[in-house]
Amino acid sequence: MPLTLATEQTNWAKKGLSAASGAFVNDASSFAYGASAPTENLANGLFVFVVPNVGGGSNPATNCTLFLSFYAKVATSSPAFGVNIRVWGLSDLAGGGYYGRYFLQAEASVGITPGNDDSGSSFPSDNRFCDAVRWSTDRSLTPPAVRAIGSNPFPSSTGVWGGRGWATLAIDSMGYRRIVAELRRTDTFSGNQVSLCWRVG
Amino acid sequence: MPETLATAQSTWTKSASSSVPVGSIGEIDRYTYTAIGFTAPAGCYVLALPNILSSGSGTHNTLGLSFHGSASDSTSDIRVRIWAVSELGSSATHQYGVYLGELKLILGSTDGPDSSTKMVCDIQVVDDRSLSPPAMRIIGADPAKGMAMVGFDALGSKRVILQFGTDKTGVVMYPNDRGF
Repeated sequence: MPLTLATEQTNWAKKGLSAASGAFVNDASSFAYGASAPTENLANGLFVFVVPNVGGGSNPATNCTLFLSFYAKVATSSPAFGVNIRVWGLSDLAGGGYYGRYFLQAEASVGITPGNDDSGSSFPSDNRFCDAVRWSTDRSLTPPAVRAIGSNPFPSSTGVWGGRGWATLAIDSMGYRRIVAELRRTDTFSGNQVSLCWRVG
Repeated sequence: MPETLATAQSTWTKSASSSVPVGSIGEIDRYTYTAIGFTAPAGCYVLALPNILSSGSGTHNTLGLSFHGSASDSTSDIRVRIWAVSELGSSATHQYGVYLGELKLILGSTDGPDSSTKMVCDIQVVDDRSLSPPAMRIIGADPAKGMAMVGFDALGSKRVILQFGTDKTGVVMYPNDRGF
């Protein structure tokens, strides 16, 4: 059954990397309605994932809270950069198609804590975690609204490397079936990429 | 099933009385990520939060922590840092740890449960990066007597790491925890 705020001990899911940079392609109206669910397109910075049904049987439901954390692949000699983020929630429409809501716009700074898994498939040492996150637009369920966990104070700009650790963004997932996120690097340096990890709790 | 904030009448768990050396405190990214499976870090207490679901894996909303210990110098500056740890994917090999904050602990005059220890009577939040609101909340604090506790949202994490730190030698600290 669905759980109250942040109780389920779910694992993180890690998404692939995107090199998309520049202005957002999608705005608040982009996923208001569609005849079929959008498909993930990492080349365009578009991440799409289905929130697990924990309701069972004919009573689909999700956990209360969606957590998002961000990371980057940093090319050699890259200047500091960050990532701009927009998030939407989509629900299915009876008879086909979907309705979507725009949740938030946020930015994250790429920090200095590296991965350490060069022999594995998770976070090699050229990956770094985003240590600080903040939002500029919050159209989610308020209260409790968008919340940041474990975040450092945001640096003076994303043109400055952030600090240590890994920040998390949390929002009420409100029973939405799919989450769409658009990620755009703030730089254009060749080889840099960004991505996210997510879990519900 | 998991309860909403502060409803379960759970009992306290007192950490084993094997003293963990208290020294300088670690960087906040010390437990951000590991790819080699979880091993208890030296100089830290690791609290495995209980699964309270009949199926699946869930924990209580709120984690309560209280402390007791001893110090040879009454002016010791005693701190504890807290990290919440979750796993990646289907393997327990990869672990993510989010830094939640730092507390300053004040040893009082009330005897603790272990020999020669005193209860921590007051807790001050030095750095709060947990879920805000409700954030870290202090319950039962007093300048000199009794036992204070801190409560915060456990965020469905599987483990919580505590590392004590001090500016003096001769400090021994123990945590107690309960979910509610």
